[in-house]
Amino acid sequence: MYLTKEEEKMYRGEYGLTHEWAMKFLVSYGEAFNAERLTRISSAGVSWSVWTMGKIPEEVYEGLTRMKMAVPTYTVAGGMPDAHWKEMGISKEDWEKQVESTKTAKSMGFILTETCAPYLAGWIPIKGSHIATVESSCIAYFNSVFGARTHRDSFPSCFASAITGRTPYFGFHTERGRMGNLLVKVEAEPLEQVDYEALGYYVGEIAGLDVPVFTGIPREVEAEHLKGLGAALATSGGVGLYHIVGVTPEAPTLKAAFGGEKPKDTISVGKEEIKHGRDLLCTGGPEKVDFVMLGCPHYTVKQLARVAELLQGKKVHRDVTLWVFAPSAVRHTGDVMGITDVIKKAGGLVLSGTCPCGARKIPPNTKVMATDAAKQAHYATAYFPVDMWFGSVEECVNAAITGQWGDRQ
Amino acid sequence: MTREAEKIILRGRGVVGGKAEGEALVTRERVSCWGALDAETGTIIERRHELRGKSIKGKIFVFPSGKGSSGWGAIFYENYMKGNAPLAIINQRLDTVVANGVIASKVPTIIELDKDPVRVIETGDWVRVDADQGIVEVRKKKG
Repeated sequence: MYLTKEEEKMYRGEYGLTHEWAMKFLVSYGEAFNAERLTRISSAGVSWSVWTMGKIPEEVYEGLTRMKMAVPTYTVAGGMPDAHWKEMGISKEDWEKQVESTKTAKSMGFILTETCAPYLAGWIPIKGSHIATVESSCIAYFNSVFGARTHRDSFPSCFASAITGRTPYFGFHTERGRMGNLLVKVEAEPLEQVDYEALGYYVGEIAGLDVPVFTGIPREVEAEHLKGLGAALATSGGVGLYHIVGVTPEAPTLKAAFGGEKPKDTISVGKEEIKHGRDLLCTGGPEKVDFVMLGCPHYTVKQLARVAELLQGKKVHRDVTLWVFAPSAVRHTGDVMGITDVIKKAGGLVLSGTCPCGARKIPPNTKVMATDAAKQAHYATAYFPVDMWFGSVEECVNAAITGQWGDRQ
Repeated sequence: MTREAEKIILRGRGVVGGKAEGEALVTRERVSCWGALDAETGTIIERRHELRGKSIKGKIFVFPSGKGSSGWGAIFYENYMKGNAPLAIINQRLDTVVANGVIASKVPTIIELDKDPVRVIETGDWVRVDADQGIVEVRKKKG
């Protein structure tokens, strides 16, 4: 791989052990994909919490915690909430470690967005900019909706990129690597939030690592819809970039989305396939719900306001726990607007920084869980011994109030 | 001679060097690590995965590609640190999140083989991996 003089110095250890480790990792990473060079990045995203320690080689960790990153570096959601540790059942010992870990993150200059949707908290990479980030749902959003360029980065490449300000130049960073190759004809209007989630879950399993190009999604599609669609595509599949003809920035036309090439495959998705995607996420257990989780990926203000609207003048059932997750920046706006207060008064809780799967915590004795997120529904049945209901936010809040799935209040 | 006749050779590209030999664990489904692998035991825990309940520890782990959360690298590395790594990985297509995990854990890995490994290799086959040369040698299990 070609390295510039500066990159070579890092590789040879002239910038110290941490840069050497980072540069050597990036070279191996790039060579695995036949990359010929690195490219500079303008920002990076990493996951940082008490659990990060111990996953980085000790000698590297020491140096890392004493340095500043080469580019603005944002934190995505980690394994800990920003507060509410007691409510989430986290031990005092772990919480104290987390407080220390956050201090370290501050000293390193990390921008503590602490959310899987950092674009809701101020990280806005512009079209065509090269970045390096983790968080599969955020990767899909940045690549597809913003037109920024990132790999499906992971651990430890995100740290190697933040340290050096570089990433290997291949795949989604190149024009060619961004072209669609799977045509997905959606014939299912009107599409609600829950349909976008199920659509993404259904298509992801077929798409794998491909770049799907959607037709049939209306120009009026909302940011929240795409947040859910991308998260689901990156859950059942490994989709890091998709295009929507007439909607997303690199797909003004079908031809542009495919770079003039023919799709290697075409699939059609109607109401039936979307229902199938939805059914795959439910385990079909008892209808008595113990726990309702909303906000995966973390909610926008609009979504938070919708929950408050549904809960206005109502009470969460005494046998049910309701957790709503949003970036701390959004929660603050919710505080200002009084909507977090409405949720709290109804008996729910607005949390930030993590999620049940991220923290590996659900309320004690949860047997049946409900959520409006395909991603959370999928992963929670692996981490927790629970039955799962997946549905719309209206169905979920209704279950929180009645304690029953499908029972009208 | 009959032993020789049973041997199948696949050629691919080694992305993490090294040699390993052992029993194959094969799936035609893509594999996630975060939210899908219990690093304490090396066991697949994804609800609808055909390998649910199976451990990848000490196996030649053969699957089409990665999928899912970008926590792949972190969980795979944690699983390796706890002594539950597979002996080698064979993927037809390399996902960047998988590349992170196998490079960090130095698990020999071969990709882009001349025959589809999930169709040629079956769970229980004896597999020799030479990731320096990009060669996979398969001895089919008996019966």
